[in-house]
Amino acid sequence: MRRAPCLLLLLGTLPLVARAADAPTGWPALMRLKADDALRDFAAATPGRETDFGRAVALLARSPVTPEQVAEARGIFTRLADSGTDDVAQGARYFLGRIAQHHLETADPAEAARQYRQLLAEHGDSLWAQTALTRLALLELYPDDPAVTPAAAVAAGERLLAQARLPAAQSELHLVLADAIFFYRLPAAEALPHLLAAERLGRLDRPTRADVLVQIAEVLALGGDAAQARKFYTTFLAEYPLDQRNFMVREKLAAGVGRGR
Amino acid sequence: MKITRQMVGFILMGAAYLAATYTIVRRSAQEARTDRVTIRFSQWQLEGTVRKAFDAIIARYEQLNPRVHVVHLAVPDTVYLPWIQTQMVGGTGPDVAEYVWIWPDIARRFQPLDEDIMQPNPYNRGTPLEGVAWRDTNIDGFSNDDSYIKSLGHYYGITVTSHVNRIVYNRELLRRITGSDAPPRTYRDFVALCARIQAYAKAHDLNLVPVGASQDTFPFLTYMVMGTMGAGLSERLDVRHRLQIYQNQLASQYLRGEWSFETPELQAGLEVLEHLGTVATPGFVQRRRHSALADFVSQRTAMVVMPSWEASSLPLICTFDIGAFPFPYPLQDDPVYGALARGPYGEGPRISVMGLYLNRTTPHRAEAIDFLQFLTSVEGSRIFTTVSNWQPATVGVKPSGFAAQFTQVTEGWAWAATYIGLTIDAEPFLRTRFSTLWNANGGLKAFQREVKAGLAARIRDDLRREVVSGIHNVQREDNIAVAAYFAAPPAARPAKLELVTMPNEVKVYQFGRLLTAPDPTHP
Repeated sequence: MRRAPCLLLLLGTLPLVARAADAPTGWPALMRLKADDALRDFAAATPGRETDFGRAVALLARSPVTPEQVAEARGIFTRLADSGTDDVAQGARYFLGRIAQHHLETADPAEAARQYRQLLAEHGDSLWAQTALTRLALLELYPDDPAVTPAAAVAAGERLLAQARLPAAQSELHLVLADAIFFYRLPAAEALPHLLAAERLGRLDRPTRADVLVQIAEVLALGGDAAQARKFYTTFLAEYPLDQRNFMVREKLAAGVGRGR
Repeated sequence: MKITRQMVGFILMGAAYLAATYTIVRRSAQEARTDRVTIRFSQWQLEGTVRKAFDAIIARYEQLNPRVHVVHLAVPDTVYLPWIQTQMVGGTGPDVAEYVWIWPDIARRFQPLDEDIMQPNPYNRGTPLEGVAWRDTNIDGFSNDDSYIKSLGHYYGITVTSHVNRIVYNRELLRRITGSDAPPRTYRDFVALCARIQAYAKAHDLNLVPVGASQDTFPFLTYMVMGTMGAGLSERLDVRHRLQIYQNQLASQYLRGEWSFETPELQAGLEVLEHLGTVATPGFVQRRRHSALADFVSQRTAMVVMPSWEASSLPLICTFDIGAFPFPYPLQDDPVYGALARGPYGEGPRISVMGLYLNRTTPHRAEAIDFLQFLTSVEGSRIFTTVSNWQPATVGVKPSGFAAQFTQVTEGWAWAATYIGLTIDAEPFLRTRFSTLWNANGGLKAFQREVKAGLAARIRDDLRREVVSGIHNVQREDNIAVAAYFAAPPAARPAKLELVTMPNEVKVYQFGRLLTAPDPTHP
């Protein structure tokens, strides 16, 4: 009989447990870009850090996004980021960087970089830090300060490679670096190691891989490495038989790679 | 009983009411059938042959799938965009809708098809495409702008056709004037032919000019001529070494002062266009396409600039034999422009168009995908080209006899650069400047002056808008990615956040940097 109160207590909590499991969260609504529905669902959800985090994300999505909403979201993210080390804390730190980078009326790249660096310092291997890494690279590669030379900007971006742990982040970072080298009209050969690394990592989506194969071949040909260039041209032809560039690549192969047109 | 005019009116009104009631009841009954699923499919190609082609495909599909009923909604292009937007916002959008990649809210209204297109198309069983991924059965592998939305990094549109622009000509008239109905092979042949037609018209006092064009069709020529004759320049501008150049990249390179309309290749292109203006219908910049068509059908022009989608109806309305040829660009052997030529030329990038998108909220996803698979299967594509006279977009499907004259030449140098369709505002600015090129009081130098005075400002405005839309994309996709991450059970959370693609975020910075840099085009 002494077990009866415990049993009753357990039975009494069952509805609560069930409700917690079934509690609506706003994530599905946010995935459908229904921010108002998401806010409503988060309000009805079990209180907690993830619910607060979700509410802040929904505030950034509810149109029209007002400065007050952004400020409220920023407040929530700050509290969450400074009070834990879990997924929610890391996600909140990431969003603090994003807000400074892309949500403020006047972007604050220095603050965005500070948040990303803190995330990398505290949780370097995590998904959130690795996602922040390439965003930080953009801030390094395209600084507001006109005194930073293109070569210095690229060098600063390249220093971040040491912190890229996940293959996805490595691949993304190499591509961003190669593109910056082309953007600044630095010698194309400087982009080659990044393109080769990105290709080797094997994480490129199909259209990007087509571009990268052509880029590698072209830059190799430009540098006089006809044998390697031929290898990448040939891979491109084999993998992308329907690509519009096929004729051009075949012409280059037929003309003797490296000799130009 | 005397039937009065008033009574006739009432009778007609009653008959109309009964007909309308019958139609509504019949359609309601059809939709109320519980033994089959109804999916709705909207598009705006109202050319008779195309509508018939879709109807024929639907009839065959329903024969194969009696459980599915497909409603074909053909909506005029003039109202299509507001119509589809209203339908989608109101939650009554069709399951499958024709849409264009530059239109708004693709991520919000439609769903990606990344996984679907990697599966084989079951309707290709027993054909050479059996077992081939759906993506690889399309002539461009769904790499076109309507299929693969670069800014979102996902495949959305299933494309069904392709188009080229051609010079369509009156074979009988040409035979009468020149003794042969063979089209010109070289640019110099074309120039000579035009001169001969003009001389013939003068000698016989005929209201006849060599080439018909209109404000709707001359842009095709300008795109083709500038893009093709600019091939050498495109090669130099390909600083990313991709063997292709995106239009907004060209625009940003204009702002850097890396090219202008005084660059030799483009100057040559403008000279070729200037000549075309002298052999085209006077005042064509002000005329609409039906005027150009009427002139050609009435034999007031020997040739007419025509996109393949419009030409499909020519066999129905012309009383004479017609032929079609691609514009004969000056090649390396041309005495004037040979040094600038980089032929042989292909007819632009091989891209398929007419993207059909899947409604994000369709309750009949499986049926809609199945219908799209049939539509783009070997059988569906054959029906499409045979009935519509449009090009098929499925690998290995031969175009109909008439459409074969409009098959794109893909064996040749082709850069995805037109130098006219740069950015949203820059394009109409350039298009309207061509009236200066072809004006007796204007000409090439005047055109170049006007472009130099106004183009950079338009590009700047457009890139500024691209930066803003890029930031909006980043914000939206951040939210979706994080929501998808937390929506998954902790043990099944993705190893990567599917944020906006990096090129989309990079452009925010690269364009932003160009916009704050000094303007080399106006030192």
